Amino acid sequence: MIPSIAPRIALVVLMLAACSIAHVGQPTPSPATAPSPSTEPPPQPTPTEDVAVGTEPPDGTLRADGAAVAGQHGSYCFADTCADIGGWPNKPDLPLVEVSAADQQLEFALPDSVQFVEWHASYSASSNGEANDLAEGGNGYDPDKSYASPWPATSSVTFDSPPAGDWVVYVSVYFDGGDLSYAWHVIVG
Amino acid sequence: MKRSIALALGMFVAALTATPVDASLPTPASGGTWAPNQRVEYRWRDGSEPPAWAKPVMNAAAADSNATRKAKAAIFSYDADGPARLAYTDDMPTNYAIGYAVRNIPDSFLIRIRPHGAQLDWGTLRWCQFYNDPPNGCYDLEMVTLHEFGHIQTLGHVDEAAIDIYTDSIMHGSGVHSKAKLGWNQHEFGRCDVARLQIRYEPLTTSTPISTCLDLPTELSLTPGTSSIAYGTSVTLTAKLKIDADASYPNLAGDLLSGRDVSLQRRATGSTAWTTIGDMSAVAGDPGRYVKTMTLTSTYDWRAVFSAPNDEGLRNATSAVSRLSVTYGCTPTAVRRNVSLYETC
Repeated sequence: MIPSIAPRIALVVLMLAACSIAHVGQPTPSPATAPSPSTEPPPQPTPTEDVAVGTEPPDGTLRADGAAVAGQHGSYCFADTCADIGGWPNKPDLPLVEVSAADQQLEFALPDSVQFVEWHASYSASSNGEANDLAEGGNGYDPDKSYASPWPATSSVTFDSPPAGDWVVYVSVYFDGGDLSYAWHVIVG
Repeated sequence: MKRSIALALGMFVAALTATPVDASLPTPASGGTWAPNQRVEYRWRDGSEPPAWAKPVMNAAAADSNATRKAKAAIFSYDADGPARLAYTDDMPTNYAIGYAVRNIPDSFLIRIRPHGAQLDWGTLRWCQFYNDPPNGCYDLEMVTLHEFGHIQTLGHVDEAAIDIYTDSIMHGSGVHSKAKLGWNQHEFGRCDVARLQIRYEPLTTSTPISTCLDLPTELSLTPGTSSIAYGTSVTLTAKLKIDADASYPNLAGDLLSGRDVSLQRRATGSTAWTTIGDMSAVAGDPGRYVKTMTLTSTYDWRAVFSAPNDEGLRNATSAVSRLSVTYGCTPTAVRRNVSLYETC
């Protein structure tokens, strides 16, 4: 028996069949974006042991006032390839995002072709420090469960920035094909 | 006013009692799985062999995975001709990773471990096993290699907000703990890692404890074998225990549960009070089946009861009630003692 295949196929079929049906009572991963019917990452080449490196994960960007800034990659699993960090670089070495005011929204985005169902944003005063929750969505999604309707997916989310200060902001996202994590040096106010 | 206070108090108590003891979720996972209990042999990658001090540590991590998977997940072992490979190398596609895993199910995998002393963008990598007296801040190579084997088993990274205790998982993504932080030298899968392995691969056997990171309903049936029996003869009551067929994980739904404590209860007809008669015995070679043989002299209602132990992620179950009527070879004169009829003819 190959345990995980059947429910996954069933899930995908259900998603395709129900993509035009409104979702009632389902958590939405983002207050600012419309649900998408697919939770599958784009097709990727199958890694083999002869592949010198595995499949590179996509860049994740954070946008405040100005241009979107690609984040520092953290641990990830993507297309049957996983990488693990021992820690994040020091805050000054992380990509910088400046936010003019504390009430401003931040937008995290992946390429449109990569959609996620669950996400979690947090912040801390220093790299690898104790993190405070900032925002989250899509909690409880489990691709191994049987669902009556598809779980909403998205490629971007918006959330409130942390309070005024000098922070490290982390975003982790989860999808049927793995997980991705990113960090930025964020100065607010 | 009193009513409002009582209501508020009731809601507070209800909120407390309704909150699960712990709410950790199974570790995420993705991709296709290995065949049940598939053996996958690995060798050292040519040109990237670990140093002598590291080889037994990395082999120990494979053994840790085998010993603590508690599911029909893959079994890893060293074989000089194995198709999978372990490498001790700086040849990684990132300048920040200390471990890297690529799975090529169902054939092989490749695990890369960054060498001791590597300069990374967050600092210098130090493996604890390199030292006789490991300094704080070093990383436990056995734990990190076990983490990589976790990826090979298809586990992903936990959302730190989705677990209660760090040691619920070894699959942390936000920086593996170094010595001497909590869990820095954990050499076994956490309970939520095991939960996912059980979800994806099914428990190792029908008697393997179900991870407490799960909360699965169970289903218990009781079959008396007959609805009536002659006075004074024996009958074997049979119970069957399994994970509820409606459980949300299709892979686990309907799985039989052996080696659990199932008791048999009875009540006199017309009574509401149940009396526990004793434990039902597990039947060797017949998973999930429990029996008890009784000599009956009176009619009773019967039911089986499964009280889930605290160290398993299962819920209690009680079977439907079965009435077993005792018939008499002659017309009893109905001498009633307590609630039982005694044959007097």
